[in-house]
Order: sequence, then structure tokens, then C-alpha cells
Amino acid sequence: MLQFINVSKRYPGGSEALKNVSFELQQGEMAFLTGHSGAGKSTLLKLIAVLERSSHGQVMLDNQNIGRIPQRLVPYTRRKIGMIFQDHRLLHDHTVFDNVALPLIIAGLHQHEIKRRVRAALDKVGLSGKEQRYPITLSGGEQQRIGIARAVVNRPPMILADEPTGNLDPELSAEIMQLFEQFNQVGVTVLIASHDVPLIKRMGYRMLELSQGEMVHHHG
Amino acid sequence: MASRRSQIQKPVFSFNLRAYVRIHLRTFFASLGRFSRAPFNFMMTVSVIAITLSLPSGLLLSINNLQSLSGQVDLNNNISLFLKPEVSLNSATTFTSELQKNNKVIHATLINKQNALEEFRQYSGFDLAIGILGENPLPHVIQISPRIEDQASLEQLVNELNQHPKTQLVQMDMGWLERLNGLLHIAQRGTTLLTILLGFAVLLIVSNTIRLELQNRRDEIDITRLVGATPSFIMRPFIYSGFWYGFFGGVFACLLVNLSIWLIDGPTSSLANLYNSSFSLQFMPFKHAILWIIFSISLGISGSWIVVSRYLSKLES
Repeated sequence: MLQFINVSKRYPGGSEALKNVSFELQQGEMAFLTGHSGAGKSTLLKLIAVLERSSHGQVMLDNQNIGRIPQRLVPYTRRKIGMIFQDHRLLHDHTVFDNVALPLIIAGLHQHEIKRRVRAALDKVGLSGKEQRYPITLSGGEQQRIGIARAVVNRPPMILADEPTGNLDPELSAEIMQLFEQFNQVGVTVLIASHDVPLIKRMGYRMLELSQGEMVHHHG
Repeated sequence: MASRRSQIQKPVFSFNLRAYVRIHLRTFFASLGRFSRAPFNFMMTVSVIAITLSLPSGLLLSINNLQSLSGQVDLNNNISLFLKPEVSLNSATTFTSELQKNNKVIHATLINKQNALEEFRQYSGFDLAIGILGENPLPHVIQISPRIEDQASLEQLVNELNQHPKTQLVQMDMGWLERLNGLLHIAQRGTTLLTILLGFAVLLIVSNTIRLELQNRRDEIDITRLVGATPSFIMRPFIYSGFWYGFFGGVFACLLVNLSIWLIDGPTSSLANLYNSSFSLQFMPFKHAILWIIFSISLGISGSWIVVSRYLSKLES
């Protein structure tokens, strides 16, 4: 599903965020990406979402070198990936429904189909009945669930999460992680960047550890 | 499950017309809906556009009105040749037919002084006074419409007429008309320049408004990009905003101009009545209104397109 082959990322000014990183995620796999702040976790996720491009090496998604695809095709690549952020990235002047519906509106789905899928996604993350609320009126954990519902509503084959539990207490964190496990169980490839090592270890999935831009461990 | 997931990738490059139209319609009305939530800001921008455009369109309409006024004045018969009082009707008639043969003259008409007196008696009300005079004080007059090719040949003709022994006075009432038409031509040229300048102003007004809107919705743009929106999807609402600004700006400009015409039409008509003229101001022709609205819409669309495409190309690089 996802393959990094000797990937390096150098920013203008000389700082090297990733050095010769190689790893592979199988379709339907779930894995964690750990490391201290500044180790290159965010850069790695940005390369997958084509928010940035690698300086060297290949980033393969679905057997396609996404580091080299033309800019006009980038949006379509992003639609294959559901992205979740620590700060949720929600539209605060839109309702929960509109937030979750956004990827479907972009895809141009019929209103009827949008309603059906948004309800299903909200139901899955435990937010049914809150469609017409505004994100700001919900708790941090609930806002993160909106973000997750938006990421999965388009049924992408892969989910990327950047510190999804960063602002949540342990109990809520565990619930969010359980959600990811549920998606993984129905076949979605999941990659989660997190520095909450104790929680990750308990869950027992594969761990990719970055340190100063280098992949230091592949715990399997 | 895996098979269901792989179907997601299929529509990626296939063009779905119905989805495309659906997205268009949705953003079209969504942009209107956004204005309805901030009607004051919207109306401010629309008013600025309307006032800016009403200036050149109003001027152009005024010029058209003046031109139609000058068109009503008989452009023919614009040299009046007054003959000396002692010239008899016979020699006046001969002179007229001589003039008729002159190649600088299109036609010449003699106004018999007897007829002129009768007419004057009828219209002026000086019936009694004329009776006291006993003798007809009016001269024979020949009305000449010259073949105007250039100013020089016209002057030559006037000179010839002036030097003729039977001539008392040559009066040319065309000078002011020419000057008026000249002025109108200048005004027309000036209005064209003004239209270009103010068109630029409208372009800048729309650009600036859209730029502010872009800044306010920067987060929204970032987020929609993250979930896979194409640049054209992001541009569309702003282009439609530009469309609506242009559309309403153009419509209100036309309304404004016609309202002004309506307000000054009454006084103009009563003034024209004093001059025995049935002249009244013309409202903006429907065709012109449509053209102004199209002009305004294209300014709105291009103004917003310039800003948004610049913004997006900066994001993509």
C-alpha cells in the first residue's frame, strides 16, 4: 500500500528533516510512527499527503510514485487518504454535518448519498444526533471524532493521523485508538504518528521510530 | 471489503458530468447564501461598483440624448441669404436658379417676402403694427443647403455669396451645431477613456474585496485542499462571488442612471416646451443596459479570477 524507498527531505537552508528513510506498510496494516518532536514525523506524513515532496528517494502509494506526480493530480491522491490532525482542522462556522460532508461535496456526490454517508460516519464515531451542532459547542474528544468522521466518510483505503490524541486525557485517547482499530479491522490501512509510547506499546502494533530524521527501529 | 475500497479509486480520472453540474449549482447558490448572511458588506461593495459604473454609463446616455437633440435641428437649409430690399421678385428667382446650378449647393429655395410677411403676420400677432408700416419691411430670403465637403469650400461659398451685389447679409446658423457636435465628439472620446479607467477601478474593487474574503477563509481553503479539493473547486465560490458583485453592480448602475433620467426628465420637457420642442429625455435602451451588465459581470469575474489564481499558484508552489 505504502512504501518509502531511501527517502530524504531537505529544506531550503540545509536542515535535513528525513534521512534515507525506507519502510513499507502492507494493505490493511496498522502501525504507529513515534519519535521526539522534531524527529521528522510530521514531515513524513506531509510527504504521504503530498503537502511536500521528497528531495531524494521514492514515496510509493498504490504503486504510484506520489513524489513525482503532476500537481493537478495531487488532489485525487489526497482523496485516497483520510487525514486526521491534532488540532482537528474543523470549519468552525459550519455545522458538524457540513464538516463531515466536505470530502463528499468535493467529490460531487448527490445530496441524498451525502446525507446517508455522513449519518453513517457520525454514527460510527458515536456522534449521531449532533449533526446540526457547531464544533465549538462540543468537547475536545468529540471534535476529534468529527475530524475522524470526516477522514473516513469518503471510505479512503488509508488513514493518516498526526498526534490524534495529543490533547486528550488517557481514557479518551484509548477510545480514539479503539476507533482506529475498528477501521483497521474492516481493511483500512492506518498510520498514526504519536509520542504516547506507553499507550502504543500496550496496543501491540508495529512501531516505526524516527530519531533526528532517521528510521531507527522497525518494531514488528 | 478490499474490493469495495478499490472502487474508490476508479472515479479519480473519469469525468462525471452530473457531479460537475451539481458542484456548480451548489456553489452558485452557496455564494448567494453567503452574501445573505452579510448583506451590509455585500451591498457596500455592490453600491461602490454601481456608482462607479453609473458615471460613464450616465454620461454616455446624456451624450446620446444631446446627439438626438442636435439631430432634430434641421441640418439642411443652414445658410440664409438675405437679399437687398430693392431686389425684385424676378431677379431673386433668377438668382435662386443660378445658385441651384452652383456645384457647391445642394439646393436653394426662395422665400418670397410677401409670403414671409403673411406668415409673420399670422404667428407674431403684430398684425396691426405691420398694417401701419404700409410697406413690407422684409427682404427676399434664399435658403441654401450647401454641399459641405470641408470647411474651406464652405467658406469659399460664403465669400462668393457675400460678394454678390444682390446680397445684404449671409447668415450661417450651422456654426453652433458644428461646435456642439465637436464638443459631443470630445465628450464621447472622454467618456470612452473614463469607461476604461473606471472599469479598472471596478476590477480593483472586486479584486480587493475577494482578497479580503480569501484572507478570512484561509483556514477553510487549507482544509478543503487537505481533503482533496482541486484548485478549480476552491476557486469556484470566489469566481461566483465576483459574478454576483458584477451582476448586482451592473443592474444597480442601470437603475441609478434611469432613476436620474426620470428625475430630470420633467424639468427638461418643460424647458423644451418653452422652445416649442417636443424633446424629452430617453431612458437607457434595454440593449445598452444588457451590455453594461455583461461588462460589469466580466469585470467581476476577471477581478476575482486574477486574485484567486494568484493566491492558489502561490500555495501550490
